[in-house]
Amino acid sequence: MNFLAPWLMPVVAAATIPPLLLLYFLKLKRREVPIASTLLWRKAVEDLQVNSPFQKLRNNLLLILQLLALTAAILAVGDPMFAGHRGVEKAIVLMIDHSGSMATDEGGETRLEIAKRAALKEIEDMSTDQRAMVIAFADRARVLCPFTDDKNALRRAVESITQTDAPGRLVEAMALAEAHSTPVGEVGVEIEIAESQYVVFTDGRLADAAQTIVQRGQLEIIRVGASTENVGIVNLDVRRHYEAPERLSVLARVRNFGTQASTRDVSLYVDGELKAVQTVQLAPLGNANAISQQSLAGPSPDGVESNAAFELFLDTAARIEVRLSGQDAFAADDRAYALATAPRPVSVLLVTPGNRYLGHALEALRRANLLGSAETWTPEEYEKKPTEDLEVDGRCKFDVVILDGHSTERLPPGNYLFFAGPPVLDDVRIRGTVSHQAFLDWDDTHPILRHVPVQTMVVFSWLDIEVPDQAIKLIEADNGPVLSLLSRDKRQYLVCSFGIFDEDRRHLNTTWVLEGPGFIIFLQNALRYLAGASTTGQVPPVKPGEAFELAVRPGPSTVRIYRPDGSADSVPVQRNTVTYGRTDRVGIYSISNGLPGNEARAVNLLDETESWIAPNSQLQIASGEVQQRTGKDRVNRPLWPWMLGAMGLILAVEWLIYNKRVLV
Amino acid sequence: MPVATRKSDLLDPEFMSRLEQLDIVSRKIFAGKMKGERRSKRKGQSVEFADYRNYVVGDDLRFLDWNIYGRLERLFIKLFFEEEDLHVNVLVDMSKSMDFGNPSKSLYARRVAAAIAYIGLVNYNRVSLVAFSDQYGPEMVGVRGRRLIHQVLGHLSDLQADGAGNLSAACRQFAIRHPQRGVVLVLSDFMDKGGYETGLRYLIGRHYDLYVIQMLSPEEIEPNLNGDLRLRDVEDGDFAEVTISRALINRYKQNLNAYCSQLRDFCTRRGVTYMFTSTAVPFDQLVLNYLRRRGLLR
Repeated sequence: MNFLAPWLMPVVAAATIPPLLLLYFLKLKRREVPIASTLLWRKAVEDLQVNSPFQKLRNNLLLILQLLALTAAILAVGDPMFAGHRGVEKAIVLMIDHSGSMATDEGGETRLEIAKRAALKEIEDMSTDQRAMVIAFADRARVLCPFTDDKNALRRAVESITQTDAPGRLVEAMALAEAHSTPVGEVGVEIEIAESQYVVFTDGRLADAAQTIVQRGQLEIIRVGASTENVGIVNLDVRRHYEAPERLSVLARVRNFGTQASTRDVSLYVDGELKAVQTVQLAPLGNANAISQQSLAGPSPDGVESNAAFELFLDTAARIEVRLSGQDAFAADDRAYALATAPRPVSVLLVTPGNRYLGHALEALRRANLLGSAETWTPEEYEKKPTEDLEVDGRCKFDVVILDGHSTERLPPGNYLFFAGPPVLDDVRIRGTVSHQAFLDWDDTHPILRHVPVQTMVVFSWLDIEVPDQAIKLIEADNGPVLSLLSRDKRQYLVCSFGIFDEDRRHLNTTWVLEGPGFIIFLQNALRYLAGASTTGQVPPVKPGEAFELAVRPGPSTVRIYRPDGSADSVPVQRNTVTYGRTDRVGIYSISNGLPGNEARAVNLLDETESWIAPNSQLQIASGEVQQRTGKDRVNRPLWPWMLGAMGLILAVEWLIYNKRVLV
Repeated sequence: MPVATRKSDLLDPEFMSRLEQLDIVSRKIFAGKMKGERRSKRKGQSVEFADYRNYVVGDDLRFLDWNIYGRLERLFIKLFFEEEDLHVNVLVDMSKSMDFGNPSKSLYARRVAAAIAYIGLVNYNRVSLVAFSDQYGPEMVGVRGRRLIHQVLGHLSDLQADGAGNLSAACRQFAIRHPQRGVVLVLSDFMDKGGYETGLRYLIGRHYDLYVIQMLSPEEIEPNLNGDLRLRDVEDGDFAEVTISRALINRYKQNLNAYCSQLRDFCTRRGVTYMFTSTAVPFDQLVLNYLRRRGLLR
């Protein structure tokens, strides 16, 4: 047992015990009453005393009881706490999950509200020598209150946490917590490292729990929530047909995460108007025990998923919304949004001194209706062309510019594919040439290299190009990247270190263009990836919590971004671009004066981990299984109510004794 | 300061007229000094024949039954019951404790004494009134005849409750001074710290026809007290510090019952008639009903 306010006890004791003793030893002033005879009264008093046990003790029994009652009151004033299994950790990090799954309704209140209440209870139970900090985390972690022993500040921090629809990620939160928990000392001076207690209030649905490492201290999960029934949209794909861009396919994948079979209607809304409805029937994921232990890895049981596919004719840009009928505990995944772009063929500019392989490949794509138009300029023409031939509204007029062996600084915002020559940027430079080496690694899961047989490629030599760290290396060789993707300042650069031809452009540098369809698949992938929304028919969706950029018309210094709930945020414009990061709720975020194709962004949950609302009873982290409690458990139980109860009991006993005794 | 009671407070004329119908009953027949209206065990001159006995020399020849002599030629003396007066003695406790209660026990006791005295006077009994507290007296001895009722009431009115009670001494004095047997009525609360046994034994030893009336006030029977009190004995100034509780009140009542029961048993075993009354009981009801039922009056 320890006390939260031990200093109060001697003060109260000093103020109350001496007066009690003084009062007790003062003679009671009695009212004088004349009676006929004291004969029988004396006898009655003597009888009572003789019949009472513990005669010697009785004279002081009342005093002893009063002192006991007072002691109980003084102990209660000291706010005693029964120390639970928390131990002696002085620093507590309260980490509260406010990800999408925490919005699950648990009988009238959300999991986040339950978690906040449990966190407030933890704060209440803190002793005076403990400090705590508050971290709210979803996809990102934020310190809401640094280490302090000010309970009011901690309470305010907890109460300020709002619900988001972002996915839950523990790694960043844990790193942040550990960083704050590590004491900073002078070099060479040994400091006592206090172990921290990391208390995580979550439903356990954390996608990256398996990567979480606790280096020092103890991690404790306080699991909240019990609801399991949820059906959610886990994927939404909107595409235009390659051959007929005015035809739009909408594919929604719906999954049952509950224990009961479910039949739901999937409704398609275009610009708020109901266009089609499909009914899906979903089998249960499993029984209650199984679904709290199952993992998302591996194939899902038959029938728990179903696809709703819609085909519609749409030759304009539109806002697509897919809704699930019915209600379940988790509402954020019952709607998904997409922004369909107007059908527009991809236009390509090929800048080359002459490359028939590239020319033929582009012509083949154009004939297959996979490409709208392709122009070919020489490097000299490219450099000399007036700006209006190359730029429109501050962006490159062409969807993709292919620069074959031509490094240039003339790179208006747009998408570029470089062969045998990097863009002229400060942090990209050529270190030399590499010959007769093999590729070490490549990422064939990337859309650009999908279905591209890299292992059969033969490249005789390539430039050793140094790229910044943030560049994505798609193909790597021993000494550096061969194919890398770099995004910055509204520009995307796909840099291929080798060309089709060697330096004197007389011999082929690679057999890639000769062997099978690999090269043309690569070119199609690259154009589709770089052109992005222009070709797929959908503005790339954003995950909750992620930031997005929108190009705006030149002019105003701020624009208003309208959130799904109808409120608006004023956002500053920097270089005709706004960056917006407060995407904590799903829905459509629109801008007041965006450029065509940049008027809005759809934010979707589409996260199976979040939709799987059944609390995770076996949370595994990299360091091992985590000790879990439910939110109802208590640590540091306050004892003052018991003390007051004891005081009341003692007073009641005293009253009984007082009524049975008389002093003569 | 006690105020002298008016005569009319003791007995009013209407009540007196009702008392005239009553007489005092003695369970024993006593010899008196004077001829009275009461039959005595002593044979003497009266109209009521009692018995015959043989003539002996010296007998009054006037009582010879000549009719029997003429028939049997033997001398017989006719014996007659002699009618004598009855001694009615009332001992009234006038200690300070009797001045307690509403109405006070002393007033109640004097009213009873006045009523008994009046009945005695009306029936030509010899009435003695003895007040006592810590000392014996004042007393009014041997009053006889209805015309003296005003003196009796005056005597009773002038009595004042004062001093500590001493029943033993008072009874002893009474027994010495009143050797004639008769009816003795003791009116007291019997709250005497010296005890009542010795005093009553003095009276019992004289073979009086003894009646004991214990009278207590309602305040003593059902004490209406609470809080932390310093109880002062009005007789001797003794103090008892008590904190009133239900348990204490219950214990007091138990003790009071036990005390009264002991007194009753003491009296009953010795042929003494014991009566208990609360001063809350109307006085006339006590005299006209209660005392008649218990056989003191008829």
